[in-house]
Amino acid sequence: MLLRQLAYRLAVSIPVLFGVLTVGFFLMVLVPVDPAVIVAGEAATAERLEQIRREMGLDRPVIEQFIAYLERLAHGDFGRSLLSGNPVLSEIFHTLGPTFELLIASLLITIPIGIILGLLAAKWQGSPLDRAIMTFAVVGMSAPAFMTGLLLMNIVGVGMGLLPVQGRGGPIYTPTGLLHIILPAVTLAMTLIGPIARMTRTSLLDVIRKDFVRTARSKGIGERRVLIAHALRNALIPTVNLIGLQAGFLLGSVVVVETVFAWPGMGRLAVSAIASADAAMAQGAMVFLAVAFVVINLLVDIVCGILDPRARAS
Amino acid sequence: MTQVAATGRPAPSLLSRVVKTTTRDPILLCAVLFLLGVAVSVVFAEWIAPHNPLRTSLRHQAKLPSAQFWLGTDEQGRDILSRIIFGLRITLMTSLSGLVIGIGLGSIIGLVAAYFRRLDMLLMRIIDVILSFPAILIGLGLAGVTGGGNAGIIIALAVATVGPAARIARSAALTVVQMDYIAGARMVGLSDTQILLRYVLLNCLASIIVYATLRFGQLILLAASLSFLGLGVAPPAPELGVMVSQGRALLLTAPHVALMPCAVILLLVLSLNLVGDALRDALDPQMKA
Repeated sequence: MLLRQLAYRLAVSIPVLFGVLTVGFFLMVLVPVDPAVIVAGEAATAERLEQIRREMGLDRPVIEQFIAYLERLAHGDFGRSLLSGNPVLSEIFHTLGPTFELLIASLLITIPIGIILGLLAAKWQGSPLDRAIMTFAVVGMSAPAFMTGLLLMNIVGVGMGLLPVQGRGGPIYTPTGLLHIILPAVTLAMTLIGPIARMTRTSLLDVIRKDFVRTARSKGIGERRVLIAHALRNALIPTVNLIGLQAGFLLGSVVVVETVFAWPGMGRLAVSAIASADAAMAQGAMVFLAVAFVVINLLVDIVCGILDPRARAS
Repeated sequence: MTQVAATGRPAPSLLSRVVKTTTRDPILLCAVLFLLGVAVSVVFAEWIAPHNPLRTSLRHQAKLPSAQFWLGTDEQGRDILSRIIFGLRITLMTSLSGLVIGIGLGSIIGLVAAYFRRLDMLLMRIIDVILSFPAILIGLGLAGVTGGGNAGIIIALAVATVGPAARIARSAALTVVQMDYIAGARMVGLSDTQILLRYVLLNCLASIIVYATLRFGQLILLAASLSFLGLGVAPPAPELGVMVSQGRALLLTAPHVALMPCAVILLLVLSLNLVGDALRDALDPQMKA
């Protein structure tokens, strides 16, 4: 049953989120930088540092600090950035929109193109077109996201001067916003088009040999309709599942793409927080990235349930 | 090879099939040769690298490829080819360590789950949890904790590999454990460990090797990305991701500084993917992309 599967997915997510919280917490404890020094500056006196440590609870046993940390999180208090002094939550909320935008824009490119390429390759299996698409897919899968990003930036952005290469130009529905998101979204899309095209092709070739497709053909339904309404719909299930399985990989690519294009999202926030030993910030960003990961997987389960009546019924 | 054939083992037919497929497909042949070249230059880096990868030179900053510097020099006048050869050593060691640990642990868990049916439920639930851990987060967190360095990346790669490896080993082993020869081995009085190692593991090896080859490329990408983000080894050391990240500043004036290591990563991962696909077709026809 779909509901049971969703409940299971949520249950599995609890230890995951707890694990991320724990790793995030020990980040703060084990980071070789003293948070008090970051807050007070290098020139602070020993007494002042001592006082800050007491205020932040750094003089208490680690376990006690961990429990206090969990308690604060339960109240929605993620602490303040050690660097800017702003609440972690508000800084993260500013990055949620851009990251979400980037993910959606890239999926809007990836899913149709990946599926169409897979469909074409399967329809003309063994033809030069099939081989060309599969070559493109395997090259795309093998290219690191930063390479695609740098190439696009260099050729399309700087060389041809067609598109902006750094930062975000406002919300996606404004002209500048749309122009700014194209290169990062295409870079992100390139990492997933290959796997999706390959998976669509494989599962489509699998499905085409099934009885229900033969039945549809023998009923006299047009070839195009058989392929799209009957075969593709069923072939999409493993493809959607693949997106769920690749969600971790996708998240990793988001972090890289945001860094390359100076995109003001969560991934870049996490990386810069870790680089500057801003532990509270890094923890918060990691928790939210983990939540994003869980949400993607939940969505994938739901879409699979819609596509596959068996997942709902059995 | 004729000796092996005389014992009637299936190995020679597989080997000859692999050799035949390789020589028939020129692209695959190139991939195999490239991988062999990389392996040789990584092992003998000290003798093969034309220059010292760390020696800087003010006179040769960001030079284009030439007879003296085959792939040009970087922003500090260091030979890019030599840095790539030594960098490959770090990148490959990191991703290979993560791969071996992840595949090893995953295979053990998968085989045990398939063989001792009572443990199956528990082990697979644990694997579900591990599978839900995005590798990049582990990498980010550990980099913060360990303050950078390869150990964090290796752990992240291993954790990212344990889950899928366990699932693949388990599904391969589930069919093997129902075979008559397993029941036979049990009747002869072999211990569980002996059966697992001698029969179950050996018969699942094809699936595991195919998966490991395809996974290797992905791990190289992941390792390079983590060090590109500055979460790996510290800059003076040559590492492919670090080289790209440093060369990024020169993208407009000397793009080859960043793009040369990129191209090597691309060729390396592409070769591994091509070889992995071919291995899958030859060894494990049931396994799908």
